[in-house]
Amino acid sequence: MDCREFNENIFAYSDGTLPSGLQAKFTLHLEKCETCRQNYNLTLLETELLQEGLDVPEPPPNIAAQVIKAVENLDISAPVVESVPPPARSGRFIPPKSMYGLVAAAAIILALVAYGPQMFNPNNRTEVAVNDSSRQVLETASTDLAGSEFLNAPVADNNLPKASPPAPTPTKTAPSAGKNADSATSGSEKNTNSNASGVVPTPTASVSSAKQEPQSEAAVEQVRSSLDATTAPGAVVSAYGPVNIPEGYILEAVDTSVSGPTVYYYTNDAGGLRFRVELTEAPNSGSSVVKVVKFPDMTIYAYFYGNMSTNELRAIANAITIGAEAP
Amino acid sequence: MQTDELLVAQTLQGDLKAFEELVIRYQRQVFAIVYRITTQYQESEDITQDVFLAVFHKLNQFDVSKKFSPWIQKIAVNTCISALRKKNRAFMVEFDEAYISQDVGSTATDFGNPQAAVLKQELRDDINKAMLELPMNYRTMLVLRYQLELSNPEIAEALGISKENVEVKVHRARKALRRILNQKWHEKE
Repeated sequence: MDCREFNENIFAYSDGTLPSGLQAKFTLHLEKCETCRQNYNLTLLETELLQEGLDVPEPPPNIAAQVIKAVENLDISAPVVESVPPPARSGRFIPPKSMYGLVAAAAIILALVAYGPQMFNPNNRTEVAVNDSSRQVLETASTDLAGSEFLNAPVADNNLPKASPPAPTPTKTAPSAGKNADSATSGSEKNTNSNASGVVPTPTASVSSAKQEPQSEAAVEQVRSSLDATTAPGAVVSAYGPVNIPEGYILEAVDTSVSGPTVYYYTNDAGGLRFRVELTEAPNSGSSVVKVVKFPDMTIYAYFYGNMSTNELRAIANAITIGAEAP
Repeated sequence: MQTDELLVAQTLQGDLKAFEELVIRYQRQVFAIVYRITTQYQESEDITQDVFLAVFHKLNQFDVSKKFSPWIQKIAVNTCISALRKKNRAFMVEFDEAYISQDVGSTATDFGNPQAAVLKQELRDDINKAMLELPMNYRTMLVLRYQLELSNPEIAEALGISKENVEVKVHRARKALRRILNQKWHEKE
């Protein structure tokens, strides 16, 4: 606790609205710091005077007469006693904290009803594969999606096909073959990866500029085996990475450098419209991750469940890096 | 003297005299709430009338097992805020970050001994002036919290924001007030 932190929260402290643990820490600091104590005393005094409020002038003397006249002139019928309802309560329904999960789930269901058909086409999955050196590559197996409708934003030079029919949420553990999201560390460099899995070790975040190229079945099988080996026996994970990325979009970068959610940055072929996908932990749930897809004017939330622990799911998500060019 | 609740019951039976008595009893309190938010006399008079008309309309919703005073106070706050919104006064729930000083420290030294009576009176005057200089949304937040002592859920309902947001906005309003006070104190130096 330093003076800066104390001053930043001094109003909450003086109002007693800090969490009890923090309140105690602040009190401890106050005992030691003369400057903060003076500032705190001033804040208390300020609060006291604030409570007294502005000097209010006398109201006009004829308010009551005006009100009664208005009632009569407007011919407002007096409320009748028969219609007295039960005790007046707040009209706004504020759910208890214990219901937040249900509310969130309802919101997700609404989002999935609205966007699920586009999002959960198994042919549009982005899947993860792992090479034999435990470094992993993200495959974008996108094939079709109603991109323009889905994104609800103008896209220059995009060749997204029409909407795909509704499809169930993917539940497979093992990824299927798809196109490799080749990437390069800079826009001017070409992808030259050529090892067996098509994967080249890379830093946690890299930038893609090359077009997606098919990956050989052997390479896919190899990374799939590697990935399977990392999962617990019998594990069923619905998704390892972002799904339903519209065709014509390239994974530009993945940020796993911070402790927060894994963030996938996509851009269209023309480099115009970008969006990001985040994989993060679902609050208060044991084994799921939340995918948050943020478009310029729309955010979609989707939960992915598996019988692995959240930490395991996140570990997989956070281990994903993008194959880069060979040195 | 008849209780508020009895007057309510009589009004519900069609006795306008009883309602007039209620207005007389609460006109000062209602006017004070409205004036502290608007700081404009004429506007406060108009809104005060609106408050009592709203009370008349909603009287059959009043729970007679509860106190009348908090109920009418709540209607006063809500009516005032919605009246200002209707008049297109810029009652923005959003707070301008740029308006808020990040530094609330170091004022104690500048202010000197805040316990002295004369300084306390000066501070009272400064706070009243600063309150008038505050944007209305900040001022309203401070009036609701510190002068009407509404709870966070009550403020949230009145302003149509979340309970969690209330605490943040109160904090920002206090910082904004302190910023103006700091300026005043520095000008005096």
